[in-house]
Amino acid sequence: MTTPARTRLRVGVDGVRARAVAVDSGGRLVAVHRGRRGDPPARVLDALFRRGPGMAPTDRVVAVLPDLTLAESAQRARVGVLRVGAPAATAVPPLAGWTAERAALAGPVAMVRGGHEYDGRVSAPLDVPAVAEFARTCAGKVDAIALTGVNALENPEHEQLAAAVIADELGPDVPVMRGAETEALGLLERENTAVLDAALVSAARVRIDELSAAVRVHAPDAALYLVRGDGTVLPSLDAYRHATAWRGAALGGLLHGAARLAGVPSAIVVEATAGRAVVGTTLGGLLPDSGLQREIDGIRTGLRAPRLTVIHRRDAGFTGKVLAAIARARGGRDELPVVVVGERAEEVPDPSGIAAIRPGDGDLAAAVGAAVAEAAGSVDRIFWQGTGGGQDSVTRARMLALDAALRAGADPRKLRETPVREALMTYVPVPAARLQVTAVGPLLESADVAAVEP
Amino acid sequence: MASPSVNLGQLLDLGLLKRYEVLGGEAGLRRPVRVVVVGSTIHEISELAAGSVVVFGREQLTLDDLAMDIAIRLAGSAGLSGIIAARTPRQVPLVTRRLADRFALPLIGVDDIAPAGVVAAFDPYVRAPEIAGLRVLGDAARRFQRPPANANALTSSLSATLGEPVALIDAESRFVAGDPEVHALLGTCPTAEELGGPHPVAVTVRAGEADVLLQPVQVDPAGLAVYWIAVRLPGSAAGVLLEPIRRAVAIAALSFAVHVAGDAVRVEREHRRRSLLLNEILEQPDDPGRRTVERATALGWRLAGWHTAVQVQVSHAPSAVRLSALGAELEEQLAERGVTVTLVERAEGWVFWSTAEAEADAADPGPLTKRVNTALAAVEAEHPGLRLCAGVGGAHAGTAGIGRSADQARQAVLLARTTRRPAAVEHIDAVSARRLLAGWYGSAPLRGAAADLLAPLQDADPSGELVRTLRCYLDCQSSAKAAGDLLGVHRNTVMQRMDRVTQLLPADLDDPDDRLAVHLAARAVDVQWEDPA
Repeated sequence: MTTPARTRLRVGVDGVRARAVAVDSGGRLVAVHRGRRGDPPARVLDALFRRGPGMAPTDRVVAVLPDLTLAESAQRARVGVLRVGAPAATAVPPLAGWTAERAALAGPVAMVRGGHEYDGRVSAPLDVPAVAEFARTCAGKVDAIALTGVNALENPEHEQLAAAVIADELGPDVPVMRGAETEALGLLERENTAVLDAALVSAARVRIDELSAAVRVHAPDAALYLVRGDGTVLPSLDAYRHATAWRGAALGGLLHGAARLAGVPSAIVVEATAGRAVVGTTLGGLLPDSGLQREIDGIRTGLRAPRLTVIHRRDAGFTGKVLAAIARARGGRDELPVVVVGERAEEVPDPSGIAAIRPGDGDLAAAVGAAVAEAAGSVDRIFWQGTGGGQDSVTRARMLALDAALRAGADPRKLRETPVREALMTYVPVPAARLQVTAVGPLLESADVAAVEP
Repeated sequence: MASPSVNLGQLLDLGLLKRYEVLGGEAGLRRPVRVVVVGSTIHEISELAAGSVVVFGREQLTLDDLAMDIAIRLAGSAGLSGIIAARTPRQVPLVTRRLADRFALPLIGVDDIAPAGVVAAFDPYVRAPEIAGLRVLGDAARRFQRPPANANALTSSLSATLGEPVALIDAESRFVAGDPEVHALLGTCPTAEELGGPHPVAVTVRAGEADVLLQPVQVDPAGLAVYWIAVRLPGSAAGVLLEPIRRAVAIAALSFAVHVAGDAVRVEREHRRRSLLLNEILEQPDDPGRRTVERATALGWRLAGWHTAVQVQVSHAPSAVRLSALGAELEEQLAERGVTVTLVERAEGWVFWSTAEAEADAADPGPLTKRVNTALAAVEAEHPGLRLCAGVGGAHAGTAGIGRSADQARQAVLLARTTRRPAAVEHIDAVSARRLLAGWYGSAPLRGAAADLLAPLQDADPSGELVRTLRCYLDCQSSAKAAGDLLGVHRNTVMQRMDRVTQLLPADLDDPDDRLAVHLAARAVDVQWEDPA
């Protein structure tokens, strides 16, 4: 039925370093554009398409966009913050960890009755009139809503219901960010992430719209993705709502791309620039988790940060520290190759006993990393072991991770899974475990309609 | 493709689903469908065979469900041919529809869904599309066991069998019966030449947005098509589902051909009866037998009174025109103009007569001539290329008067033929000179002499251009300019041709006798005369 598909190009755009590449389905570089640092990503993409890849159809465009910060006040959205958790979770009010200045950026803040227990039982019935009242207070005063429910990862019912009530009051033009859209254990982390996402929604929309306009001009059938902080992809329609998720994309994309340029599946990657060196690891398409949560503008979010070591050039003993960081990253895995990229790559000496790989097109690493980026889905939450026992939870966690990877755009036939990491919880009155699992795989290509003909 | 297969687009066109909507992935409607299954969970999708269509019940998955995106991705990856699921009052997110487009996976929304019912309805068409076609064929065979009573019965019956609009058109692409929209759809698509061509076969033509199947109705299997049946094909009628429709239409065409042939035989018999009766009357004008009178009266013929006969002839007919049907058309056109008569077929055309009580009523032939003229013109307009002419006899009394008037009409029609005008009608009484000419034209030896006189011109120019120029020149009182205008050529061309004619002719055009003889000959030549003797 389907003839072997014609090659379809994957385009990667590095919006930080102003590089764009087109890669064919075999991973070969087909076209390259090197712009000047500071060129907007849309212009870099435009220049690449004018250069040539127009001859083959483009399946997707994956872009690394510069991090958005609250400091970009011009496009900052006003946010209404609602927590569904009274009376159980009111001890620390919303925006508690924020500086007074930042907290002032928000619109109305409220806590209403509702939320669930750790095992998903209703802790208090949702106070729907209070939610509607909150929405009415927000009308005309906010551009976005951040809504977080207690234990909403376990049972998102109240969050969804409250979101529907708010959407009914405010209409579809005011986006509602839900805390449970972020896979994080803590209520405050989820809430902070939702507030930040909501505050950045306008700025994100401007960036993505610019880019997607350029994509529509040159490759109307191509799908647009952004690179996440962990180097995997985020569909552009989700990216509007999750500006925090693509923080750190420049490094995430670079780590994968450098290994790809060096032709290895896993590697220690060093990027050496004029100001600093960054040492990171990529293992089979995933960046090892640092176990820390990313802080944005001094606010703790629910995003997990990859394990990276940053050494500033002004630090004393720069070279020695870099080599030490490499040794630490290898951590006994002696077979891991070392890949060095960046404009000052030659200044990093080979670590003892191993010849570092210095790929020729090192400056394209992040763009290539974007072009070949995979889709991943992660689960990290506490599973209450009900009647099904432990195995049941593991299966559920795996399904959730697979679904998340599929939503991100992965091809279900080519998904790989990490082993499920399990941490038993001993301080809760029922058997429970924190399960972590990630599924990752290449993106599902769009159908070749010409090959569909009977 | 080894085995015949249907696609989802065809299945939907069959109308088995009530109120459905294609929400996305339209490009995939052409994918072959191998099997239709009831879906239970979305993760099961990845285990389905490529080419499956999965139907979800409202409890399993609705279109606005968040999991729909995953279902589409799984289905796209597994090479499915479509997802059918229930709609909810909430709108289907644009993202979901785009996703379906991206994977060319048809996403069908229905209001009311019973997955088992959908599967049961689709299954026969998916498993054995040929068997599904037998229903149509069986229905057609039953309905067309007897020939349809008329064209309307044919179109309504066929339309009910196929569930599609049907029209009947004639060989010149004119609407006869059925759905006028199908005829309008055809427009100028099949030209009159195609429809009237010598080897008519069933064809499918693209008319605007739809395909139209054209099936010829042939009375003579080796002959021309007398009618065409036009059926607007539904989108599903392709490949294996088209064949039953074609066969059903062919059955209907055959059945209708039987009706047309039967009709023709009946009309033929009637005409023969009339023409025998007229012969009897003409042969024994003074003493028609009692039987003859009775039969004439039965036909509504009046033997007493003053009769004015009219003879109509075909001077030129294109091959597509059925001469046997022209009589009926003429009768119709005459009736519309207040001349209610029965045409009788004769060897040299058709004869009819009108009867008045008194000579005075019959004396003024003006109105009758005018009516016959417009009736002929109307028939000619219906058939491009057809030329008719008619002669009107004088009014004569009694049974014998019919014959006398008919004789005069025959002489008048000879005159009408020489004028070469469209719808020419001549009255025998109009000018007495005409009578003189009619006598002359009617004489075979004289016409032979005329042909001999012009033979050198015919030999030199078989196209007849010289003879036509000569006739025109003489008709125009030797004015080269007037003749040139009439012939559509320059005056000098006429002069040049006349020089040539003068050289070739064995006669001297300056001599009045020769000139008259040549003029008569030029008017009489190449008209096929019936010898009045």
